[in-house]
Amino acid sequence: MSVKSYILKRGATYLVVFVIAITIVWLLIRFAPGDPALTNVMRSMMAPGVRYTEEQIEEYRRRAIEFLGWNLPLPQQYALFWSRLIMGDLGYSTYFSAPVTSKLREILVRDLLLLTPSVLVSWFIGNYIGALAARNRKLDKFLLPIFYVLTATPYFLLGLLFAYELGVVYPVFKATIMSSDIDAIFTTFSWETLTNFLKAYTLPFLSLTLIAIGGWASGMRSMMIQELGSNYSRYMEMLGFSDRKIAEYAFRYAINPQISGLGIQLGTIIVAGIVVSSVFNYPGAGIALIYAINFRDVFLIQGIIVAYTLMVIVANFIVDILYAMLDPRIRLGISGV
Amino acid sequence: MLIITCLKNTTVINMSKGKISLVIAILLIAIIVAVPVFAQPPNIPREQTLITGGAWWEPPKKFNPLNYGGSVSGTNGLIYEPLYLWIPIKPENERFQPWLAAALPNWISPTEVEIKIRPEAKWWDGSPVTADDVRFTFYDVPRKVTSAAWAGVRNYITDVVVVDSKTVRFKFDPQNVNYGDFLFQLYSTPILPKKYYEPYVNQYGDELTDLGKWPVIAENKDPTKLLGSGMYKVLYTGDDYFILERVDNWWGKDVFGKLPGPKYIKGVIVYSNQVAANMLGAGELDWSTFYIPGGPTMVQKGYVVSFYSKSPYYLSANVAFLFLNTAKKPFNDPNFRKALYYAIDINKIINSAYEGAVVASNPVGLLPYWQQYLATDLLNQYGYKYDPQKAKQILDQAGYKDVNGDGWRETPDGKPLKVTIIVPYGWTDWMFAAISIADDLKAVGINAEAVFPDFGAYVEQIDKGTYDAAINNFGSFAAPTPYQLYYWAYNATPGIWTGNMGRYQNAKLQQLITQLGKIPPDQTDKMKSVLRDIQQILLDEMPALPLWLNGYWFLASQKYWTGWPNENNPYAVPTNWNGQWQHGGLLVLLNLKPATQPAQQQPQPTTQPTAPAGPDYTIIGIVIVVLVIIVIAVYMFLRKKPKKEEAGKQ
Amino acid sequence: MFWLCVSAILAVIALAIIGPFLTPYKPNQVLPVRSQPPSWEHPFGVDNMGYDVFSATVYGLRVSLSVGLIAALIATIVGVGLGIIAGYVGGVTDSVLDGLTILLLMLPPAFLLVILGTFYILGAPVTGPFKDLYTIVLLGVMTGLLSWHWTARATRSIASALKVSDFVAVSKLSGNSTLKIIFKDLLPNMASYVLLVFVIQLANALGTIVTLEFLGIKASDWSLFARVQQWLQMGALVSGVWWAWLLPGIVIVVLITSLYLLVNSLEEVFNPRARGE
Repeated sequence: MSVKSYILKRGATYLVVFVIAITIVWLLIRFAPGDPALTNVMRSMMAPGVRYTEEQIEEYRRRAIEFLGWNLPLPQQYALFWSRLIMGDLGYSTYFSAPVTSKLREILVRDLLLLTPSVLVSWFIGNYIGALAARNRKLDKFLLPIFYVLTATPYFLLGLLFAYELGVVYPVFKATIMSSDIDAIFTTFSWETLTNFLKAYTLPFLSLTLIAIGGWASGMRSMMIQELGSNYSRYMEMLGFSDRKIAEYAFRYAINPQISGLGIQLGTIIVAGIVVSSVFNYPGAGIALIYAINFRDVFLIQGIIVAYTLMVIVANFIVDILYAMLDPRIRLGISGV
Repeated sequence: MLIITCLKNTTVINMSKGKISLVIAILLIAIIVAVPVFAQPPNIPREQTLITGGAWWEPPKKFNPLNYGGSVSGTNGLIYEPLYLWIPIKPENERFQPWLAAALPNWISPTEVEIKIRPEAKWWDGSPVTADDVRFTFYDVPRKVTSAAWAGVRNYITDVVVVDSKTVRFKFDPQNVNYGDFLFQLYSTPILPKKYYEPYVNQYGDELTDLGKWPVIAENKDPTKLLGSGMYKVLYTGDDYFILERVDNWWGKDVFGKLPGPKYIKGVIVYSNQVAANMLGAGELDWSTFYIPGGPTMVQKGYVVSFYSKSPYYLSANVAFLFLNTAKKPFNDPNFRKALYYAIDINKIINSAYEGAVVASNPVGLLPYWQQYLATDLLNQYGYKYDPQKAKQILDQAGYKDVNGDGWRETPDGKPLKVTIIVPYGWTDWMFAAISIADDLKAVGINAEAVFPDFGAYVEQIDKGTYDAAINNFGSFAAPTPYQLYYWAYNATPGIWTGNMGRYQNAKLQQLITQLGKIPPDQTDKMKSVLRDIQQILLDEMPALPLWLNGYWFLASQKYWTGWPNENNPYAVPTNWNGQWQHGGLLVLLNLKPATQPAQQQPQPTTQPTAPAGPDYTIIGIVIVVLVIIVIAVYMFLRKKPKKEEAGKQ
Repeated sequence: MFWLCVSAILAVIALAIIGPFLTPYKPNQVLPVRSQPPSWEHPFGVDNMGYDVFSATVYGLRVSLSVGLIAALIATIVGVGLGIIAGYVGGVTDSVLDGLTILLLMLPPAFLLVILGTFYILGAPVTGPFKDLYTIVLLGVMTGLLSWHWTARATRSIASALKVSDFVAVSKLSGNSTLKIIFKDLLPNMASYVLLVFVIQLANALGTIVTLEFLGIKASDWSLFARVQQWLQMGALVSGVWWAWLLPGIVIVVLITSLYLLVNSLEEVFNPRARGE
């Protein structure tokens, strides 16, 4: 089986999975309890003191159903959904009062702005410290519990702690971040906007990063210890290589599962993102999803899930292609371990 | 993360591949990030900005006065203005304050009233606000845009006569005249510029209230292109905030001799009350109308000011009812309902759920601004209060006894009885109130439970009438007469957005309420008499249980702005809620002054929270940390480089 | 180290089971005092609603732990079960498993849980005394069903490795049925691994559930962090009532940390190389 057929096979699998996944989500939303037509429109119209007559409500409701396309038969809705999706039209968000696609781009960028540096920084630092701990038993006794405590701490708890201590009690940083802080830095880049941005950005960033560091470090540490105890390490030891050299080799092998882990981490970081968003009001997909659910903004919910699923699938597919091209076993069609 | 240990069994792959995939991933991300779609927020100085929140819950993109209920709060009030303000906390004869109107309405006859417009009133482009604009707003719009917020007036306003360019006369249909509604519209209907909106109205008609199609009625849906008359205009809208800029040639400058204090208003949309509380405490929020529990504590500690320096801290805004679904048994039994009222300990709710920040309601649901209509003798006669013993007595007498010995009462015909109280999830004060009520009911032998569906489900259950009991206050705000409140509570067609959630049908009551709306405003005696009859029925039947008065949540930081109204200086209700700027928010803006160091405008003593640590150290620290991180990362990356060749050889 | 972890875990579990008997206060009993820091009478203090934090914590632990246990059980059973079948039996099952795993990997479980949680847990159509039971089980099952794919994948490779081992060959020769082989030969060999998996799943499940509770998706009114979230919304942060959220937080962190450390020590026991010898 050549590289090409492998890629095609993988691609087909991913495509099937994508379709199934999106369909599941679509069905979930269609058949969710509650009346989106009513909530969708009405939530955005609630102003205590303003009175509506029954006819007005009926009219608004009718408009909402038409807008959602729910007056069509189900299979037609499904087909419509896919045809629009392929065009890139994810519908119109009543929450944002804007087309979903363009809004999603903004949200995605903001999310990546927070998550990517956090993942990368935590990965590098975490692995380094983990390897360090594996080599140095004294340090290990001290560090290991710290790693585990960090990993065990729920993201929001650390976020709360930071928000409180460093945002309210000693207001060194800002406990809340607004989209204006982020926008400002990309338009007028000055010392002031940078300062403001960093003040608001640091706490959510730290909450994410520190906990992730704990995770990577503990994983790396176990890997390293295992590698250091393996045969080739002992052999090198007998041959008289320095500890450092041995560690370097061990590191190379230990790092590999961490790399695949990184790809997966990009997917799981989304949970962390949601939670941190809600503590710091970070305008990312997490908050948007929660608002969308509350407002029963059907198109937005769909859009967010489609976009993120697509991202994860594409990223994984690309990695698969690369592995296919570089791993001789796949190239030569050798299966099994 | 320890899932990685499970992966120990996976194959070990060449490291260079891993690195390449990492690099590609970074590139992908960089490509996405490198295409910034950021907009251009203006740079506004903090000392000239009033940061406010509590009235905005979604991205501020809708500024449509025809459907102002679904638009950004301030569309009606700041951008467009009504004829009058109505300040409920002022004495009865001072409540109506002419705004765009020049003086109080002149009642020529019960079906004709003349209103003069201020000579100074003008639109932002300098043209005057004329009688034509008023006629357009009150006559043309309700007929052409039939789902506009105030379109109902077409049922009783037969004509709006343009007497001269600054005078109009409203003519009413003697059969359908509705003074209750008219008085409400006097301070709630935004006067629209005819020359701007008429083309749209003529072309699009009713479609204009569809916020999906028309978030803003302007070229390109751009809110900065609107033509209004008010103090502020839209400068910029983001996803979670918006900025308004003061109109420096606003007509009020000539009338009041001053402009509003803040040059800019920044409205913020915040995820939760807790975040709002943080911002308030840190001085990032000046005027908060969020419900912030712990607010009383903040007031006591001197971080913020409120209207009252002690309990109840807030002015009363509306009546929180416990609606019982009278279409279901046993809620159709007045005895059952009355027993429930005796069983509920309102003070417990006030003290625990609200920390003393609200006030109990009277059994007829009249706000304190309608004190003069309260039939105190009737109230004393009926003697409603918290009395669980009495509740048990009534239940026993009415036949709700525990026949099967399970500890809970059954209905008179022996069926099991369970009361489920719903409030939207996340409305914490109501959640605790519901729990408290359920406990009270259990204490008198009724099996009760508090349930918290999310907002969408809550709305639906009430709308469809599938619920048992629910707390609600959507339409119980203050108005010149109790007509609005009672209409909403008992007359409206049952629905979550129309009212009468309890589905209560009582022809006599409904007739009295309708009659209430038809009484001309000067006939207070007649009103008292009708209201007395209404109260009689309410006390007799207790169709819905008015529990407490929700407050006009208001907390302000004096770090940047002073001049807030309070009990010693009650010049306005400091609210910025949608459709309520006319109760005083506008006056507040007019009275705010920048905080100057020694001088205190307030008689209340306030202390400033400790200033944050010097920002310079913070920045240096952060920069150092970031640099260190980058250095480490680069170092590690470089260190592995020599190994790459060796790996390749393998 | 090992015993330290076990004792910590047992302590927390004990808190959950016995705790409610230790405290005279019910979790939703409103006390006349408010916002009291920890004291002898109220070891965890009183929050600004008048609820005793200690009693809320111990009752809450019960709920959250139950959900976590259910989730971990489901995830482990499903994961190990499917993994063995796919690895040992192979063929169609294997491809199906592969597809399912990818499916679960791609769909962000976080989003799914938030959506499902809001619609089906918060808006649960069941009322009555069994409502709590219903939501606890439902939430546990939902979480578990979205977390088993790791276990399945790993178990699969173990199973397929064991498939070609000697004793399995002997077992097959002696005519044992597939089912018997699975139960008598494969499982006992994987027992240590399954145990590890269970503990990891429990730790992860607890983390997920606690986070969901924070976001509002709680199995019961007195889920551990549901209380905390309510306290937060009631302004616990700003009014300085730190004990309301920090103390339950510490409890849960201790629990999860001990679980992880336990895994570590168990690994050292089962896998000599991990000890660095």
